[in-house]
Amino acid sequence: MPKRMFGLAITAGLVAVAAVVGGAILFTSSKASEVNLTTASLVPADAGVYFALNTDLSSSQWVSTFRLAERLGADSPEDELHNSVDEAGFDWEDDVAPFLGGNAAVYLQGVSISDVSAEGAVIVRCKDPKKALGVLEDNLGPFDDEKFKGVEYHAMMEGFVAVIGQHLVIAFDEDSIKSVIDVSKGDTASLASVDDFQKLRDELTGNFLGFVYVSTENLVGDFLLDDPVVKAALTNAGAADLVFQPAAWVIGAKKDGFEFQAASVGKSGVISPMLAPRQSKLVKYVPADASLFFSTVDIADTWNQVMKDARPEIDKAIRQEGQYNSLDDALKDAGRQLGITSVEEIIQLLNGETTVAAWFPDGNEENAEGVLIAEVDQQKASDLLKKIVSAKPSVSRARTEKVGNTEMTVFKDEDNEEAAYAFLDGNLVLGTKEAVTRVLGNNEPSLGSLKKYNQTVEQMPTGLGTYAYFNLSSLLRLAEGGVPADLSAAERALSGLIINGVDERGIIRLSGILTVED
Amino acid sequence: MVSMNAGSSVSLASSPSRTSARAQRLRRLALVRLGAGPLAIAGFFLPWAHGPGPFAANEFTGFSLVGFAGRLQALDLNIAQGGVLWAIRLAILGVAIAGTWQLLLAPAHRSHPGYHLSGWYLVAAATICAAIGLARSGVAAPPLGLGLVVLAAGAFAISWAFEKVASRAEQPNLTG
Repeated sequence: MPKRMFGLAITAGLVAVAAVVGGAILFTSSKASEVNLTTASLVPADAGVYFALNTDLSSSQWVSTFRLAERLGADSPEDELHNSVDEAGFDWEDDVAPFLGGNAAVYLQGVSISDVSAEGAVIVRCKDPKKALGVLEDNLGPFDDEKFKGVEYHAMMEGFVAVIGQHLVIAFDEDSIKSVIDVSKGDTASLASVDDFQKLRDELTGNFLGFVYVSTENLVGDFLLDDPVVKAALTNAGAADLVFQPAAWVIGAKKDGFEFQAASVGKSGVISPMLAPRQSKLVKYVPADASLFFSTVDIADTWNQVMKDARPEIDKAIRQEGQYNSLDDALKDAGRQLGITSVEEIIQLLNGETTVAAWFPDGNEENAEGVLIAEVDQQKASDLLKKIVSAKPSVSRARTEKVGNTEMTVFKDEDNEEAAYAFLDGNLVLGTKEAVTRVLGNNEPSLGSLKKYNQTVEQMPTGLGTYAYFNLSSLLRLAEGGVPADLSAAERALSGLIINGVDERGIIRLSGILTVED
Repeated sequence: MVSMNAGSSVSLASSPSRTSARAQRLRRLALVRLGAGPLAIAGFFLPWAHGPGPFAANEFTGFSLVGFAGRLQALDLNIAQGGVLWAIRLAILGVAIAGTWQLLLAPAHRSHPGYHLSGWYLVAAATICAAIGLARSGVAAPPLGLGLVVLAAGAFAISWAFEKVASRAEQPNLTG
């Protein structure tokens, strides 16, 4: 190969190497690293509550938090944090930095309601545990040195402290510090080795600001859950599985908002159809200025399941109230007032997605417009609604109007307010007359195509099941009143909120996002 | 590029002991030169500095600085600030790339411009980083990673200087 060609080949090779090395480093270094919950390996397995905090201030979670705090009106949150420590008479570098080693936790176990007591400890993974111990000694010393299983611990003014590896353990009672030493020696199991803890930690995002694990059984022991009255109440309510099983929560920060997620290893049981992950098919009919939007699915199926399992208990409870003999009686009576056999007929219509939306056209909460849009069997729904509006013709004074090509039935309710219903693409649209008219004649982009709504959905840590969306920009202006509304920087920055329940991969999750605008 | 071949032609006129000493010196010089790349790469992944203010608990390596600067880019920055952050990320990334080029070129391709470009880049980066460290912490031993990058830069500069000196010393012999 000629020398020049050889030189060019080397140059090309070097450029390729630079691209590969640079690309690999840029990609891998930008990936958000997960929080390693090292503190859980020192917590006893029977802990009732474990709360851990991400203490790496350079992590993507904290960088996002600082960013969001700026959007909410803070000038320089990092400096404010630093200054607040200075003002308290401490030096960040000497007195705080040694404690910041990635994660810190507090755990509680054996809560006793009778004498208001609990065991527990604070465990901090330190950057420099000896220096951190020195800070404690300066502020809470002098120490009395003790030893347990070869590990030195110190009695101080208000409790006990020990350094175990990179961790500093602070407990208010001697038994707790000994429990942690036992775990560190492998003599008793750690929380990190508990199956449910591992499952929940792995299922929730590993990148967070705060993580909470609660085992009700461990927390309150047999005291509450063995109480036959409490246990029967929970079982009859269908909530026993959820209450008795461990659950975990995480809260974190993303580019455009704060997220939260809760998960339980309990089974969703009868409400599982409502929690199936899905995308809303009806959001495309909702006006973009809707301040509230709620969507769920399979109300009829869920109702049938609940009734199958719990009808005797519900009947019993209703009998005890005295007015009706059973739930069926109560539903039939309510149905008769509407002109139908039973309210259950309405419930049975709702076997697809059901949504409710509301908005405030003039910015006044008194003048809300609301609409229910539901996937229904059009024939059955039409027959039922005709029965209802024709039951009291002198009150309802039903008439039909056209909105575009769609026929709308307008009627008056008991309060003499005008309401309406219609069918749009086979879906029931029922609400105030103005709202139904708006949905039927809406030529503008819908909520489903609104950037703010989609950004909020995109930031969700899970799929959507049964959820509610709140347009905070409009709701806060509504709450504040005044033209223009007098909002603080934080109120102006809050954009959207979603609260959602979903069953993903066999884990029930409550998740949400609070988005913050630029 | 002044090559070792030029040196070996001179050695024909030298005594055996002088030849041996010279060969030993050249071997040492080769070791120093070959060390620049691995030192720079290792240094990139080891600590360079502690963070300022609330980040005082964080030890930043070259690698984690690239990531941290990337995370900071997610902040609400203007174009100039974002541009500066990108420039800083690329400048730090350049140390790893320069180290890799040194690793590849130092054994047999020192005449390629990429060898000198990457070497002098290391020298410039190490000088700037050392100056920043000096300004922040005064005269103190640098963190391990930054120390290795400085050593890598020194290794390149020393081998370059020795080769320059050797080539100048050899010029009269070759021409005479």
